[in-house]
Amino acid sequence: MGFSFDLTPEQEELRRQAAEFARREIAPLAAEIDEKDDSQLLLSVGQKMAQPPYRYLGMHIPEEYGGHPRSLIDICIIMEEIAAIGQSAICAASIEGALLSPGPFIKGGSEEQKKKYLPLIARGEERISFCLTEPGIGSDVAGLETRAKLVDNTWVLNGRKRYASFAHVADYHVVFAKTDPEKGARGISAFVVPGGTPGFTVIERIPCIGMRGHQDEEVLIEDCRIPKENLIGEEGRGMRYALGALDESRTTLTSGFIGLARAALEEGVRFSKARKAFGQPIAEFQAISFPLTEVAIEIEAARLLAYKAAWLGDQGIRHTAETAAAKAFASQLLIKATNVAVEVHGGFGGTKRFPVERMLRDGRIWVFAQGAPNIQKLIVMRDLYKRLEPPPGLVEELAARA
Amino acid sequence: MFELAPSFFELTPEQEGTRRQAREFGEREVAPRAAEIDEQDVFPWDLWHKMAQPPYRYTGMFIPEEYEGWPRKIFDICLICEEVTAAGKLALAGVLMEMPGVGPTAILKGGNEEQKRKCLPPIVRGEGMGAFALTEPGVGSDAAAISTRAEYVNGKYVLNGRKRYTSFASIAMWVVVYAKTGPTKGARGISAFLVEQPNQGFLIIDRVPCMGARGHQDEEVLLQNCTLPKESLLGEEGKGLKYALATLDETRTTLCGGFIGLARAAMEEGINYARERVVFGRPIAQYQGVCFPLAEVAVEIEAARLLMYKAAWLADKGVRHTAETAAAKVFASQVLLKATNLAVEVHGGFGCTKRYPIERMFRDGRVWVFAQGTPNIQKLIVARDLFKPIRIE
Repeated sequence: MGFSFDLTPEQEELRRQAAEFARREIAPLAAEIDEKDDSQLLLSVGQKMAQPPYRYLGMHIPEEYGGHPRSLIDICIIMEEIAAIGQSAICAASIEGALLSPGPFIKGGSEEQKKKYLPLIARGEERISFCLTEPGIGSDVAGLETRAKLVDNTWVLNGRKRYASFAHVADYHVVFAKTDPEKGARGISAFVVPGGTPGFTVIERIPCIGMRGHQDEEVLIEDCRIPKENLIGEEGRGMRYALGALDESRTTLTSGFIGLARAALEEGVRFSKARKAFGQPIAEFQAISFPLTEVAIEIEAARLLAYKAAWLGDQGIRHTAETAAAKAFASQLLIKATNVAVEVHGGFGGTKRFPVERMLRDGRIWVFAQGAPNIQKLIVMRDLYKRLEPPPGLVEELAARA
Repeated sequence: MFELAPSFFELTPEQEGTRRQAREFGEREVAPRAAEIDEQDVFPWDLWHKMAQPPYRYTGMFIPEEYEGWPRKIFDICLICEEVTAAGKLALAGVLMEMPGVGPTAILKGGNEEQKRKCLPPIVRGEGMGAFALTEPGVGSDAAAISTRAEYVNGKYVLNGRKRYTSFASIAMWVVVYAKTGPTKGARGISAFLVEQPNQGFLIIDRVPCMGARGHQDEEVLLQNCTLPKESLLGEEGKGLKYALATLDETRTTLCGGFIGLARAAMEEGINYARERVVFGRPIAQYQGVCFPLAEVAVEIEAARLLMYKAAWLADKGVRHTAETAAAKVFASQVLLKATNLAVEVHGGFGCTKRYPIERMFRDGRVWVFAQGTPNIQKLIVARDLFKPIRIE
């Protein structure tokens, strides 16, 4: 077949549809959600996303459980448009949440669990919060400290979680805890905890610079008891379930970054053509137009990296390193694009009169979602060093000189 | 479960074969000669001859079959340029790949049948070299401002002026010289002339040594009443610049392959070294101050390659790709500078010595990015495209 960069007519239609949805349902609310830090308003947008013909919350869920599965490339196309036209990181991130949270049920859940929880996510009716991160633990999950013990056929959970998104409004929480502390990552299991279960308390909500409307919450789990059947899948496989969908959701998340970078770029270009200094539009000064141009080039480069990773995923080929590469690159791009957009707007860019200050705040925090940029680099680095061997003789040569 | 998207990112088995063959050429014919070519700074005729041999025939990639050429798709030329440069670790190898694409453009577009038959086959056979004289001491990318004049006197053209960076002029069998026939007409007053060598009025007055891409010859030319028969005008008067730029989108695309190849070679050297060099009891590869910048370069090399592939894919479909190519070239230029600089950084002081090839790659990269239009000119092209479609209310 060879290389091809064409989208199919169906993909063009998906793109058009996503853009239209974002223009109508997201863009008009973006400033208000941010301003009021209003999670209810955000959740109402989420419910619209779940409706036909969009059904954006079911894109990773099989049809038999009420989902509307799509290829990764298609999800990438949708994510980019939602973020670019909606100009709201948090609304795009809602789609991502719905892609990631079904993972443990899909990978490990019993038939009964799948039937119970997956349709809820796909319809956007009830919220599931994902409780993995702890005050001292992020990407190196093997050090998790929350414990789960089976006592009289009941699981008893104890620990503390941080960045548990939407925990205060969630109908269910997926909690990761150690059932076998000796075994590191292989001693972690996943549990489903119904909202309102005694012992599960949201103790603090931490306001954030960006992605407002989203709720980063700190949770205290104290002798929280849940039935034995609330274990998801098998003991010790929780991390495998949690990370199972991560290569996929990181790929599509990358397209969200690209979309927001594009929104910032387009704002910058528009403004620079209208704003005059020394008698000419500032777009005609290369100090303005060249940084925007660099961003445009890097957006296209990031998009191609994301599409390549998505394409590999759709072929069933492992794409961990390709996805990490795309995400690392798109993160840098997002930071650069939003910063350049503010720079181009000058002092106006820092005010609420223009959306770029929101994009700057959103971009600054969003890049850490699903693994910090440094973690992505670590993944790329490991792959890179594995693939290349030193040339014959260099080891000896360096040893001899040492 | 999912519908398949169109095939995006696969090379065909033939393309894999092309790439393997280019790698083998780079390893066998270029790499062993790289240090010596750099050191001696003399045109490597032996390499030029070998490039022309079957099964490679790299000297004929841009030239039609009827003139003994061996035309290939732009996409395939990109693959070849990347591999030969990566395996050969020498910018000049990539420069030579480009010459048959850049030099004869005006002959191909404007020359008559006799001129084509005379000038093109010797290039393809690797027997001769052609040159391209556009740049002047005061004029580069804004070619409309050249001051070399061509006047029509008694049935002959007489050329006067000065040219700079006329690559390979001293060894060329012909040089295409651009001069103004209509000095008031700007870009549309420039015509292209075929100057066969030797010519008494065509004098090479200086050779300017260069830090990198050595073996390449940057020559300064004085045109002093250089008198040419009227058939030496290629095509029509006033169309010279149009001919000169006609294939630039294509050769700039394949040039990116060379940049990417050299960046890759530098990265690979850096990685190899970092894995073996031990500091404080462990290989420096294990320090993130060393390995993360290398990982960044690896990511950017892949991104640059995809930008180039997309531009090449457009070219082969016959779609205009000026902005896409310029974008790929800007990006690949930055990657090349970053990769070679980093490779030196990783090697420490050793990296600046002739014991390792990376100081050469560093020098090569620094100058090569200016070929066929500086990075700033490429940005200008992208910027024009970017700012065009958006309307301000």
